[in-house]
Amino acid sequence: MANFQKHGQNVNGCVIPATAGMFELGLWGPVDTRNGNELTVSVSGAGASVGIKKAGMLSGQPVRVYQITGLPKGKTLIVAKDYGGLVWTSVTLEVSAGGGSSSATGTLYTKDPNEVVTKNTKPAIKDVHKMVLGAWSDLTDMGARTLTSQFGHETAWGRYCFNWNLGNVKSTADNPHMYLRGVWELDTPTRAQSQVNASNGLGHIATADEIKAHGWATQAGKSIVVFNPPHPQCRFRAYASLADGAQKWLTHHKGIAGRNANYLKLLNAGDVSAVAHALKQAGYYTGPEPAYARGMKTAMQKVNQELGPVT
Amino acid sequence: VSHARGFVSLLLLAALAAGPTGCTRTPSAGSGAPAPAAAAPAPSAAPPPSAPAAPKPAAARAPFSIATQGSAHSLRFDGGGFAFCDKRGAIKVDLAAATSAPSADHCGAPREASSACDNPSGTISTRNPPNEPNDIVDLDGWSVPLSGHVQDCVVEGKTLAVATGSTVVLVDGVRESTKELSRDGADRVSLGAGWVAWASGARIYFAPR
Repeated sequence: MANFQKHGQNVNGCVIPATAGMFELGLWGPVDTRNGNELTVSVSGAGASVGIKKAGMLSGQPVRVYQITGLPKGKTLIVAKDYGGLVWTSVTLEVSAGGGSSSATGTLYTKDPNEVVTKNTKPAIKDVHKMVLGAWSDLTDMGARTLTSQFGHETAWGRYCFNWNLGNVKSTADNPHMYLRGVWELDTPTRAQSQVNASNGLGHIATADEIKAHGWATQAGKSIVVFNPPHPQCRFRAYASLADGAQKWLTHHKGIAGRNANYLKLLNAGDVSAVAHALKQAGYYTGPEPAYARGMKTAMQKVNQELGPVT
Repeated sequence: VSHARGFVSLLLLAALAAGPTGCTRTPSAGSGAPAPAAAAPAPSAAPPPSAPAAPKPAAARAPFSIATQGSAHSLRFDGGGFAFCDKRGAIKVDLAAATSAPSADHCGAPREASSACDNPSGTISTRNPPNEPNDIVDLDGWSVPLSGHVQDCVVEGKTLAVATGSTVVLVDGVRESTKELSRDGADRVSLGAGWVAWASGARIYFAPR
């Protein structure tokens, strides 16, 4: 199973705006686990001018980055094939006359003045650390590193961070907001159809191919509904800066500290496993705790590498 | 999320025992509530026709549902009663009698449901973790993982009524507890004194808080 990704969104089968210069594309699940071979990414059809360079893997993620250059104006189909030539995932990159866009969509979906273009915002580790340290005086250098690690793990170092929205906080229409694609939900078939009927054409029942391509978890007797922008389910807060977006995220962590007297100590001790446990206890995440702790540990190593010795 | 299947079932039985009293009253079985876990007390005998109407606190607090014409919107508890709009226009519900009747109220365009589930002070907000099919509501350091995305939500201080695609949940942010009212999901939800109401398809369900 594999799919192309851009700004953390699965773009398999999509037409996405691209730039004629260097354009980065992710390939989630790049290895054919049957034989251990990595999939081959290429241009489908004519595309002699297009250069595709295999770059590194995203930290802590099964995502291979590809750097694509020389895209002509118009549409170019990019495919990932296995050893036998079978296409596992594809995406169409479209370079407009204006040269494309750096945002996830490049366009606004509505005329609402509160909507802003969706942009991937990747803060530097040192900036997150500095901001956290400045905003929570009870934190030590180590405590700020622990929280920075939590941010890094949660957002895959900004891969899932758009317009400085650190936790994918949802938004009403009267706040500054953006739209994200690929919002999906598991429902009973009746309920799913009812949601689609009420979606004004912005929702659909996922097909088997779509489910497979996205790697969505299915449940017996349930259907998957997919919402597309500008459906309200795809509306998320857009913040103007890292400090602005981090406020809600930090307030929540302060709230956890207010309920759990040990939380601050654990943060300041840099005990990522215990912090992962405390966050699980607080209901912060629903995934398995060991995986979350491992992810935070890996992120902490990256933070320490970047920031050097603890002061 | 804690489940309160027995709670809904027990009160449902009480509603059934009380029998139909109005034009649109039907039991809440359509909500998918499981079979009753325990027997409910037998209903008291009805008063003779000549006797003055006695209060019916037990029946009045029992869950019930009413049919709507198309999907309902503008759900609101108002002055001890309940009102909503559907294809027919404005409808009032007598909560004690569990009956509905047209009213002269004006029905505007349906407001957008509150899928963001937050409050102006920012102490309550809702997240959809990347690539996850479920939302999480954050209440000042305590989080409530939900099943599905928030369809509609009402925040009353630290009490929330939340409808998702596959559940209706009452969240008590003070006691840090949750009560699942339905496993069928809903489109709209409303919170009133002593009651929660939610609209799903062409029905509105009522349950005591």
